[in-house]
Amino acid sequence: MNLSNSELDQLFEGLRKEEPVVSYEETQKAFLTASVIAAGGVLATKGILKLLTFKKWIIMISILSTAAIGTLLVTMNTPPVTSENETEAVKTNAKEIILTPEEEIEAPTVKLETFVARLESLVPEITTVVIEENKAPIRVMAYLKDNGDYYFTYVITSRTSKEDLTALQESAKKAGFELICTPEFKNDSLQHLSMHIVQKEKNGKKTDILISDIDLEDESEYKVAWNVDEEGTVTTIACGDDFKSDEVMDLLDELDIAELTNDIIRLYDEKNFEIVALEEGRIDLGHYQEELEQALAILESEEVKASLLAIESIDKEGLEEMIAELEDAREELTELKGVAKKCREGHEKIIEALNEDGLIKDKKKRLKVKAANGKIEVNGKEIPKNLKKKYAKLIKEHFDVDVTDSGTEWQWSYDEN
Amino acid sequence: MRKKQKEFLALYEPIHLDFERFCRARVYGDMEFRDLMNETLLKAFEKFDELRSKEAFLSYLLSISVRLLANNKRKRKEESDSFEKIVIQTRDVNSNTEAKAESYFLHKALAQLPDEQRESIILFEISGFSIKEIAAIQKASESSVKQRLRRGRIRLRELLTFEAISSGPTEKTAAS
Repeated sequence: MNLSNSELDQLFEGLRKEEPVVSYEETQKAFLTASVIAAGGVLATKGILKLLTFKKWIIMISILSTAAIGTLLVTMNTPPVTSENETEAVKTNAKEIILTPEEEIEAPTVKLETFVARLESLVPEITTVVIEENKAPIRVMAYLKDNGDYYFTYVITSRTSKEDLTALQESAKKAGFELICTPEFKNDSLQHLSMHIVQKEKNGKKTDILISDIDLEDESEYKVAWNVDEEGTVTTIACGDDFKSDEVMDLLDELDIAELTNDIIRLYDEKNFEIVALEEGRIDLGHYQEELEQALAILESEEVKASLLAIESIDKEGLEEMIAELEDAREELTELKGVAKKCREGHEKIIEALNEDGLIKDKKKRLKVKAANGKIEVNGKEIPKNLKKKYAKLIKEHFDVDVTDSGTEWQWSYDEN
Repeated sequence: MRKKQKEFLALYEPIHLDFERFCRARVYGDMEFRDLMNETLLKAFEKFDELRSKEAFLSYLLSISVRLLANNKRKRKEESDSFEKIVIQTRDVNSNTEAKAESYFLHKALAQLPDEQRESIILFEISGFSIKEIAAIQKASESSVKQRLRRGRIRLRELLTFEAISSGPTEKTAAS
């Protein structure tokens, strides 16, 4: 006999009275941490099966923490401008955007590949961008130093007009970088502003880097500033609210590294199956290679190394733990990079061969290769017997799978989009 | 903590319990419910300015959860179409958190219902929403919600009876 309706109601009643497994405090902490990390574009709304989140998480936590402390040290100990004249020059060159009634101007319509390196004002973060090939990279950092040691400082408020932003862009252009502003106005009041700079890579590709994405509350002020060299070319860009060391220290207190490490271990256990799948080459790594390379580049960057050195004097125990985590993450990423490279090469060779043999018409179209019961199928059609040996060899070479064995089942999909 | 975060968390604190229960029951056995909570909160925070009524904050969060899960399901389906042989085995990450047999069996039975049915049942029986409100959250008609509730309850009764019998007398007592 089935459970009665009233018995089912009782069960639901029990569930309604059940104590929570996760407390509000834990959720609050997780939310605050995640929102900080999401500022780097890491955790925000990723799919459940998204790969490498765990790896990136380790990297971002480490970078955020080290960068925060590193910036603190720089701010407290080393004023960058040394001569009195220079300091004076800084003051006289500081500009404030003045409110003027504005005319409609067109928002920039340049469509570039976007890379989010958002310098969110919660935690200082540093990134290096190449404004132009063969020129020294520019350091872009969150927060302004509160002593205002910048040659050019622009204050943006809700009263900033479109003309003001145009003037800001012109000034940036003179300093040698392209600043794209995407403002949102409501009743002549600036509500939201996204600022991007454009990085030019070696292959000529342009990347649109989001450096600020801010909501301007009534009284809030946001600053964009930069220093220039003797030739007037930008050397450092900073943006954010005035530096508030207390706020950063509070945040660091909230970021309990030991607890985060435990979370990382827990996450690792849960994500392990993905890593195994990855190592076994069952997942197409081609799309992730670029991400891996970016992550490795961050780990190798001078800023991270310098920040690690700076943090050493503060918390040796915590640092050792963090360095060990970073080292582990780096080793694993290097390994994964190798796997990714092998897979990618395999993809390219197989696609090329299929195209040459006339088994596919378009190299960019979605492709599905399947091997089972000793047969190899391409997009659902079995390949000719005289080509089977060739493709079995290619698959063995690049994916280490013997498809000639009738017990082997293997499948690979490729979609350039 | 920033003003916007404070405001957001102030709204969230009183509804934490309801939200946690929903997430725990909704993804039991499928994924870590904390991930769903966190993902939902992040998304909700991102769109916080669009929140029309602060009184409806719980519905707002639940709508986001429902949408996120639907998107994830769609993505997973697309991925499984491409990689039929990749079997992702998720652990039952919530199982160790359930001490009570009743709660355990009910969660387990709920997990066996189709997604929309499960959602409707949880929202109605555990979160206490009305059929009209559930229809709004699920973007479905009221009659669909009613049908889901009716069918869901019938199926749950069958499943729980089976669980109780197959698990021996202790669980049978617990379920009855």
